[in-house]
Amino acid sequence: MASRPDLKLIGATLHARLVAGSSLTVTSEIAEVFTPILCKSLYREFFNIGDLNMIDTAVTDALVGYFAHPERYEPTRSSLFTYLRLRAGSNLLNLLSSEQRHHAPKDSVEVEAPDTVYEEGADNLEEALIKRELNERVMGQLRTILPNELDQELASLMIDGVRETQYYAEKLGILNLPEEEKAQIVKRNKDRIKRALQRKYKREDRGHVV
Amino acid sequence: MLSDSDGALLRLAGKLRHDRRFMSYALASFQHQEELDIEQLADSLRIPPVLLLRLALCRRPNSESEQFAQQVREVADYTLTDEGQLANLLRQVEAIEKLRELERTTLNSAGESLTGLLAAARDHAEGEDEQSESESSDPDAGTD
Repeated sequence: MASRPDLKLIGATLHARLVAGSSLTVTSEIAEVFTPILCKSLYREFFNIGDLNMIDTAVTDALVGYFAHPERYEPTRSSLFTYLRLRAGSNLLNLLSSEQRHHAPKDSVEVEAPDTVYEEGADNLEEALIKRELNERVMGQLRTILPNELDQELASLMIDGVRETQYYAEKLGILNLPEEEKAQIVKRNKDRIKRALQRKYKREDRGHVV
Repeated sequence: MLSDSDGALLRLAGKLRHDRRFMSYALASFQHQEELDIEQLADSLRIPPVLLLRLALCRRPNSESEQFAQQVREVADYTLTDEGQLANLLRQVEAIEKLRELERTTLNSAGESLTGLLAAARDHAEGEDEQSESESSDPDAGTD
């Protein structure tokens, strides 16, 4: 049986990187890891909500708030998921209350504060948390563009956010070369992969993004 | 293609358009400056939507930092974007931001100067009025 990813550890690692300010990709990683499971968790609890966009809004507001003030989260008190889940849940309750005020008494919705204790591992949420799985979605699209298995492995390391040269050097079988030469070869291969993507990417596959 | 589950991430990228610290802001500014639609933006970066979304959610490299090149490389690698193109996009956005800032500062200081000038003119005019009023209400004024 495959080992289950440790949600608490993933959250702690990402939070430490965000607070350290050393990574520019960490906000994207946090969003990709936590947004889907936070939404899923709220969908499950507030299944009778008519407008599912409210859940998306509650979750994204929680993330925007966290990105603006990561210091407000105290890792010693709860996991990052628990913290974000509580914030998103609270945002949603506020949205629902204001909605109720607008529509009451015509079609009021019963809103109760959630009494769930958000344990790590509840409802197998971690299953959805494997970063590999998230990146698999990206890799699925890239496989057709990068038929070479080695290129796929290198691209996979890149989109995993791996920055250390040694992992690429290992894949390329150049571990024994001097550091400078290794770095040059790794950079050349990374650039080649990006160029391949740029050359082969088809315009008609695009959708709306921002 | 983007999947349904990307809806919330799209919404998040949309909210981060208003925060200068994020790539979403830089991408939106570039789109606005170049009058590009989202497809043209994707064209210029030549990456699939799922990676453009990922890029939008990253923090924005700081061109004034000594680590700018390294920061651009980190983001470019993570999103499989060409680092040269990304650096150019960021520099362009920043240059136009600075021009706008300068324009605003110039307009503000011109406005302040004009306000000051008008206030001085008003004070001067009021001073003259007061003087002529006191002269006309004092019959002995100027007769000694």
